[in-house]
Amino acid sequence: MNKCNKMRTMFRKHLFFLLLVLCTGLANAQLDKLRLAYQYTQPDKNNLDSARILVDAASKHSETMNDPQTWYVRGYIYRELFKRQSLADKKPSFLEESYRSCKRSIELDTAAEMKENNLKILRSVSASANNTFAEEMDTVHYRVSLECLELQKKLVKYLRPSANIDSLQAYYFGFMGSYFQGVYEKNPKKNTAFLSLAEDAYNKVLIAEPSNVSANYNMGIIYYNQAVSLIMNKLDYDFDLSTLNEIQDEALVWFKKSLPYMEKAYQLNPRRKETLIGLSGIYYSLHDNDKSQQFKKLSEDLDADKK
Amino acid sequence: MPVLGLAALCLSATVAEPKEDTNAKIKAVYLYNFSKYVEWPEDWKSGSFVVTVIGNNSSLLSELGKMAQKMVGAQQISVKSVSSVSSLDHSHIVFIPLESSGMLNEVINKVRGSSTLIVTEKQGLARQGSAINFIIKDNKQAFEINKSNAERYKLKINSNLMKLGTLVE
Repeated sequence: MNKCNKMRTMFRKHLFFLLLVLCTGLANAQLDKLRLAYQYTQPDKNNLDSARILVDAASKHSETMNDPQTWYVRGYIYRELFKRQSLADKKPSFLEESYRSCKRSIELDTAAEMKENNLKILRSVSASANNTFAEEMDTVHYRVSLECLELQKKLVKYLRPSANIDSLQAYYFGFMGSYFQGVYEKNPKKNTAFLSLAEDAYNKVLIAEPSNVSANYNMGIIYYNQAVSLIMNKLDYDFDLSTLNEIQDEALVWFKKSLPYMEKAYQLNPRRKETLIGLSGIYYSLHDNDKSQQFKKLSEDLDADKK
Repeated sequence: MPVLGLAALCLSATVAEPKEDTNAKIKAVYLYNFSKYVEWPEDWKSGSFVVTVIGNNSSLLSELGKMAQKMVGAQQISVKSVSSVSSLDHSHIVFIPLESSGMLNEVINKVRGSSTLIVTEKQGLARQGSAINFIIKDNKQAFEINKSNAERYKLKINSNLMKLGTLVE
């Protein structure tokens, strides 16, 4: 097989490369750079750093900067750069660059010849952003998850303009809030900072979806637990009555802050056992025993219904 | 919308459910404070400092169990619970929870002549014989003091405690 045939075989495998060849308007030197950039992404070369340098140069060169193929290749290379990173070292900025490049390619590609290939990369970037959001959700890397979420919002908006971004935001922030809340609950003394992160996440869920039952319930529980923690952990037997009074005042603020969220969760789903238990607990702490008993009974009735 | 692998994770996060009895803790801290703000006659200042709860209020007894690790002056705290007044013995404080309020008169008869601080938690009981009665004020635990009822048992209530409670006669 001569050199030309080998090239053709390779081009058939990789559409974007074929497109490069079809593009006759490109200056040869720049075209070669793009070809080389692509070759560097292949397993036998595996030199993504060089590929990146070449494609970045092409994206700034006057002869190639307005060519959709340049940006397509760039989108491809940046996605590969992201994929080949270890989990501990993931950089969502690579996904962001891939997204920006493919988007640019589609804008420049007035004949829409490369649109489907660009969209294919964008869908892959979206899947990576989604998976990385979940994978990086830990106490050290959660900021990476947040970056992935922001990117995912842009991607979904772009790929599915009719998609409900509020619902998407509620879904991701709900997950995030639950995770942070779980971290806090495991070790409240050590993980205090995660409580405000959880609160912040649930607030974002509620901005997007005010009628989200879980977020309302969890917000109520966060405040309820703050009050409980004050009394059960901070209040000491050696405190005098004035201090006891102050702690009661402080706890009361949290209990009252908790109540509207739990009430809302109840309005949205009156047959959710956790909410009934939560309301019974809040009213008990507010010394409203009638209401506390009322919700306790509703919770017990629910159990009886299930039997 | 591509959402891969997230749903299962989303459901696995845990949230705490309310379960701790904050009211019991507050009452227990109050009861311990009463022991500091009330003065018992000299002949009651030796041996164990006995706190008796009428009935079996498990949350409160659990909290009072923690209080029992403290001292009142040189006296070790001893917490007891009795289901009937006939079992009530020498006690520095007798606490009659809401559900046992009907036993107040029996308790009064039983502790007559001793130096027992009777603490109740039902509206009006400070006027019916208890020295201190827990009340709810603005969603908070508070208390009433009937000084005469305390003095009847040779108990002196510190003026600071009087300032913090609501005085009734």
